[in-house]
Amino acid sequence: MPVRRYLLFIWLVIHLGLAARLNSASAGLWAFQLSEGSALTHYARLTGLICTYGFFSPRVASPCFLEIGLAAPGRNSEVRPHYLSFASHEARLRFHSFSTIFLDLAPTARDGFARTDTLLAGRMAKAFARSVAEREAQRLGKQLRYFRILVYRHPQLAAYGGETTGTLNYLYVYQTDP
Amino acid sequence: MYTKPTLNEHWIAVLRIGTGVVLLACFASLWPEYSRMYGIDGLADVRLFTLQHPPLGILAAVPAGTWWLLPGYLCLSLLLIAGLATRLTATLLLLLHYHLFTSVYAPFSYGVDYLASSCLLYCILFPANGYQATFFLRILQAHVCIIYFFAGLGKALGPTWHNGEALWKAVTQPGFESLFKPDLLFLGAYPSLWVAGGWAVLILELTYPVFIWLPPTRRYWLWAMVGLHLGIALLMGLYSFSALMIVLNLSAFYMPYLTLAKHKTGLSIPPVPPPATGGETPAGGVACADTTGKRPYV
Repeated sequence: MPVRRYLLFIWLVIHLGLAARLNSASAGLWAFQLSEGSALTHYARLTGLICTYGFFSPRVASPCFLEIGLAAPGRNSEVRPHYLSFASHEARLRFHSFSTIFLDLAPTARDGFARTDTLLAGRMAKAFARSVAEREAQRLGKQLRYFRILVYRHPQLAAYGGETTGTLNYLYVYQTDP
Repeated sequence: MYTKPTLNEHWIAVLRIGTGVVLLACFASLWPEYSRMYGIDGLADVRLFTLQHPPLGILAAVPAGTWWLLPGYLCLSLLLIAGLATRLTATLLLLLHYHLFTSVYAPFSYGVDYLASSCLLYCILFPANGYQATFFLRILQAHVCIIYFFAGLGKALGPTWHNGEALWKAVTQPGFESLFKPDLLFLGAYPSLWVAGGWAVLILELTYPVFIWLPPTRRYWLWAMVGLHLGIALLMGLYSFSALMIVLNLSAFYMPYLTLAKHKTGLSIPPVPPPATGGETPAGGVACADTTGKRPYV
């Protein structure tokens, strides 16, 4: 069936072209932004082209951490910091990848973290953090007192001799009413 | 008279089985925490995820946390490995994979999920019976080359791979737990090591589309890339991602050039001198001479 064969050939050529286009954009060569909701975006997402290869296997190199302050039910109970932990390595990796969205709260580009864009992205990051913190507190049967989003800055190789430990900065702090 | 060797068509099976095994292992590892992350009462409100990535069509009616999706995913992975109704299985698995991982819950996903989607698409499109296998092989090879070339180009355009910072950060930054994670912070005193490593990765990826095609250098680039992915797996704990990249490399540039005789009998066949004219040499293997006047493997 030659028609079917030609159609398949055309499809695969377009598929590879889109792969090359998205990969070149991710290499910073030629900007290309797919609009969310378009058919092309859905196609790229379905076929895996939307996320291009990187040494970090995109997005897992998140420097962000979520610290949750939890206390036992009761007014004067002690508040303890809590970090999400996972029994499964895959789950830990996926949460680490997820925490990349907190970079949308980075105030400036001076810390070396690329600031993404809009106010909406920042609000979404806060909403996600609050949702995770509240659900984690609920899961553990504790009260949520605060949560903080921290960003870790690894010591630079060039300055390693003088700066052997990383630094932590707060990107966002949320305190609940006691 | 020299006849151009036919490519070993088992690469399609390696791609299919490798993809199925990686998906199965990845999902089995995620299983204990699946409902905590993706369930209705999961880690974060599903409405937030939906705001970012609206679900597609009919899939919206089936929440990702629905109980039967999990055994369904495992069964489809097993069917894919077994090669039963490959196209139908791969189609259903691709849709399910999209629904569970790369659609609404895309923020939880990472590279392996998207690479797996690409592999599943190829399992659907590539024929299992070897019909026009060479054409489909070229598509896969071109895709792998595109991936590495632009990854290398991206590294070449920025400064962090030239001065070793990126490699240093990748290997020593906390957050990447793995079974084998030596403390390499002390190597920070030797920046030239990191600079050399950064350049090695950059050159390896950038030149991959050239040297992987040349028979004399193919084996070196292939095994260097496999070594790189083993290093990523061990030092960064990205097991599934590395395994899938290795599957892609072996499917695209090792299996097709492996002679069928060697594939069947291992290394027991006596080595024979390669043909005088240049043919495609198996990566990491010895070319099989045509001593019978027939094509070496059909």
